[in-house]
Amino acid sequence: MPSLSAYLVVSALLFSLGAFGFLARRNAILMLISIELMLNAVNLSLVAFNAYQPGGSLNGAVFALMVMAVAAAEATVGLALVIAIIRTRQTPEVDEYSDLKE
Amino acid sequence: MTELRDVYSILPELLLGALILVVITTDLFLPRRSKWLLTPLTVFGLLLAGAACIAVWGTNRSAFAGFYRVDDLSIFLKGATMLIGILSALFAPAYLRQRRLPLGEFNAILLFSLLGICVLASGGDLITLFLGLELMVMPSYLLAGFHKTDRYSNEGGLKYFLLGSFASAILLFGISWTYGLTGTTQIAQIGARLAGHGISPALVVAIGFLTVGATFKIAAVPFHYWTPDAYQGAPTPIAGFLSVGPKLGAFALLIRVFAGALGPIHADWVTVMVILSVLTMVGGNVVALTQSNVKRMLAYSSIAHTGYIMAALAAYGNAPAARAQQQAIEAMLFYVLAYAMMNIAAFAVVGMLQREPGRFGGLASFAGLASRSPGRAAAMAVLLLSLTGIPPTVGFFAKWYVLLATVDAGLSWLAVVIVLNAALAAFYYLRVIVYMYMREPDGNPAPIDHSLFGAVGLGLSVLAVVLLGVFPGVILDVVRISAASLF
Repeated sequence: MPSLSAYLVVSALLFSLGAFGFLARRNAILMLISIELMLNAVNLSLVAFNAYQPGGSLNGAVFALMVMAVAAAEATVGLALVIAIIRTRQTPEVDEYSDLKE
Repeated sequence: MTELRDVYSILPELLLGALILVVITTDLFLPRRSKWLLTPLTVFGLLLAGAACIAVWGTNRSAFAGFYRVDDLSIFLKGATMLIGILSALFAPAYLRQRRLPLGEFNAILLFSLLGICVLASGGDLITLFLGLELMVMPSYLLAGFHKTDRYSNEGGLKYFLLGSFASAILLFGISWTYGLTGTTQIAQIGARLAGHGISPALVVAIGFLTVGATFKIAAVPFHYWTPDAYQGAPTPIAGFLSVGPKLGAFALLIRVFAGALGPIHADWVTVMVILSVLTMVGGNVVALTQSNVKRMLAYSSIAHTGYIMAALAAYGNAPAARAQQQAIEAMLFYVLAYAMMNIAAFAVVGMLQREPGRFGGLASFAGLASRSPGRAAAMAVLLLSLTGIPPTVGFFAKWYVLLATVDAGLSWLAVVIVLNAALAAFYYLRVIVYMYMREPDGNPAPIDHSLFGAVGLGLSVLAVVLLGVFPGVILDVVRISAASLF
């Protein structure tokens, strides 16, 4: 069994990739995917922390399940909003969404 | 094990959940011309849930194996949530009707968000806090983008969603590391374990992520970029809700995390909180000065108010004794309630002047309002004076208690910064009053919305702002008991 820190490194890498994708990508759908990647990185760290926790409590694993449910709901809400804005703007590029300013 | 008492202690949430089902079902069977009945139905249900809050007052216990904490603090916040819900339900219908937006869906989504705030207020565990937070913000994203054929609403909703979800992911990363390093998700146990050990570098990273995620949600500078766009894009009465409802919930999260879980190590986070508080006050006020759109100005001013509330949290962190800590939490609770009542109503007045779609609440639409609608002009003037913090309004006492708390916690210079900022804010609030009373109306002003529900809501909030300004003692006793339940 690999050590806890191996899992945590992978999780941190995934999280950074997601965060980088969110900041670098300008397409709303790809930004949404990047957020999902970040949430999955968190899930990995939660499950890893739980597996190496003495005492056999399952809080971390249950938490990861909850996060999955929330991520699914988040994707639904996000895609609904993206579809609505593509109908009025005909583009998923967020740089084009700049009507709101002074 | 789950007992019957556990179920009884969440009576307000159960009623709120039942109300959501009733509203959705009733909406299906009501003919189009009777849809307005949903508003009184929602208000009645929220009144019932508010009465349930009074019924469970004084419970002070952990329910559901520690996942849920029903104390007077949470019940106070739930009562405030019901109040926000009632005002939102009253302000929105006229605006939605003029734009042919569905009232039933609005009420249902609003109630879901209120339920999320209630869960968040009672979170006794990081899992519950996270679920409450998401239940609160996801309906908020939908509400911001509620006018789905309007490009501004789309844009506001999407920006709110993208940055909000990004912040949630950061917060969650911090939560997972806090769990990993302390070995528990229960708020009370995290506090106990941290008190014994002190903090490691890994824990600093975890708390850093927690802080960034949580301050994103309250829109503290420099994590505030989504706020003006989300509020300006959202339908105006909804922007009023977004500026107070999710903010109340986010402050509940901050109290639970920083005063609850991280309370024992308050000396380590107080500096960050002080810096963020000053940045937020100054940043919000300075940008608000330059705005000519009242809706956007109110969005920036809501950022400034966040800064004042954070100053109270910083006072908690810096307080030398338990009494001063409690005083700081009292100041926070009082400010959050006062801010909720005045800000939601101020947004509602902007909405009433936007009766025709395509009017954006510019400063010019307030010109000569005193002669066109003296009642609404007077109400807006009272609300703006209260937002400025001029006695005898509730806004004055809210700022006063924050000042007292900061001075007693040994942060006198922070109190000076607050006073200077309040003076700065007076410029842009009073400018609107000048427009209302000293300018002639435009050649072709938009008709003003005179709907009954909106007038009732506005009357209630102005009455509360003035009455609580004259007799703050009424709510102060409640606030004192609520804050005491945290210690």
